Amino acid sequence: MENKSPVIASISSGKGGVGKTFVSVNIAACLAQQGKKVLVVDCDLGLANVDVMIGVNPRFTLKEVVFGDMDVNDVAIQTKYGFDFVPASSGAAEMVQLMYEDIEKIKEVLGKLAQQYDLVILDTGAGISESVLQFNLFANKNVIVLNRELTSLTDAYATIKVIYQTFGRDSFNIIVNTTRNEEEAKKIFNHIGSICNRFLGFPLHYLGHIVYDEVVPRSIMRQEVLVHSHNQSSPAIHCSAIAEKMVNWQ
Amino acid sequence: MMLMNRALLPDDTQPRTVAEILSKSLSEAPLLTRIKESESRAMIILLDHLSPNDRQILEKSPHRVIDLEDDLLKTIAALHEENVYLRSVALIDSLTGLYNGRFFSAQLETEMARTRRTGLPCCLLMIDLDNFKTINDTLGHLEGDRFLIQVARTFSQCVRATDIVCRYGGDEFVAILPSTRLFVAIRIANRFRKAVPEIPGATGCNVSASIGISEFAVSSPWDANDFIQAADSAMYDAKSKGRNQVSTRGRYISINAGLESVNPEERKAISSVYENVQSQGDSDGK
Repeated sequence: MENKSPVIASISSGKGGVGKTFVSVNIAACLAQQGKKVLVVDCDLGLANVDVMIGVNPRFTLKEVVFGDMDVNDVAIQTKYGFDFVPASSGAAEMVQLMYEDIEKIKEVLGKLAQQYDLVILDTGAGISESVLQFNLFANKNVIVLNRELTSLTDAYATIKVIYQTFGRDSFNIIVNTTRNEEEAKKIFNHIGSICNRFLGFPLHYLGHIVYDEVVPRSIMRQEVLVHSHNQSSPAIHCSAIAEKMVNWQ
Repeated sequence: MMLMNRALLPDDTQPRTVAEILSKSLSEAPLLTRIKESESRAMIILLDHLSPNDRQILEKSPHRVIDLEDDLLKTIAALHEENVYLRSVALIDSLTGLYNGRFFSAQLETEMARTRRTGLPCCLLMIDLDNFKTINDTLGHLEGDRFLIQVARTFSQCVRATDIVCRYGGDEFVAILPSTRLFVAIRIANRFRKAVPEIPGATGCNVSASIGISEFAVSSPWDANDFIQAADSAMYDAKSKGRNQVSTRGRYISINAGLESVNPEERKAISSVYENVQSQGDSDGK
């Protein structure tokens, strides 16, 4: 057994509804298919939705770890997609505005749990809240998902800028989601990358793109994981390509 | 001094005499006019700010200003030294060696201006020792003073090199944490809070620290007084919740708070990307 420290990748976007959770879940499933030990953590503490995306109904969540005495090992569940999953609680008001000690505690327990995995994917919440920033700091790879909408581009840029200003991080991996084609994705990436270069002084890294296909909303609606239910579809193939790149991060 | 520079720069082509240069600068620079009575001092100041051409003229002249006044240079050096000392007396707390309240007030304005310019928040720590009076009452004021010196030293060790620790008066201390978010400020405050009960010299007095923190963000409408008030009321919160704890005020980064960090120029650049991508999509015939 190799004893490498795990890749901890945060998936953020700034704007909600860009596809963070879809990307997290499908990439995790791809990585698991490739034989990796993968953990997905739902870090959207107030509006958890990984559980909805994969159609599970967890009994315990991070809330019980922070405010109860639950061990995070007992909260983590195995999914039928081959990866493990730490759920968060949806609609728990006290989880929305976590205080310093709470976030520190989550980071501490996740830090220990992460040692059992090759890759950990942190599906962070929308916005640029303190907890989103802290999960980005906790991660050793920062992934930003964006699409072709103006608000998505602006929020993605704001997220990058704040993380850079706050922690000095200057390495971000971009996934262009819901794009028409690779050409458009590259174009969006090149433009936003040049803006980063111009105003912040560092380039971005292209991690991949996922084209729009009507099978995506359909699979989400049916609580299916696309790379399993439609593994020959273009978006599934693109997710797989992204996962392939992430394996090399190890 | 900038004014003098400007006054001396034009008309370098015209030949000048020492008297001309001096009288011209003295009349054009208000600052110099004010200290005209001690003209020799004005000349020394002038030398630093002369244009190369004027300097050359002065150096060639028989009345070289520097050579005239060797003693004057010494006097100025002595005055400068005294000035530094007086300033330190005015800004340093004599017991603890920390900055005093006067320095704090001036520096707070500076740091708030820095936040407005850079967009990075700053934090204010307001610290009040719990049960400090017990030391004075049971061990005497001398021990109380010794303890305060220890507290000052401990506090200085707990903060970072860029943080500014001041004695606010009595057993109250403040610290300005430039370019620091609340989250980080809490960590630093706790570091100090945990160190206080370990400080020797107050055995049995049960001394601890109640700490209030306020964060000033670029979007905050606070002035310096509001900023201090916020830290102060947070500190009273910590006291009323049972002491020996940290309490906070201000923006605990909330959803979308970071979006204000995108400035208009950046927004414009992003919009142009958007338009570019959109128009390309449309011309695809979709």
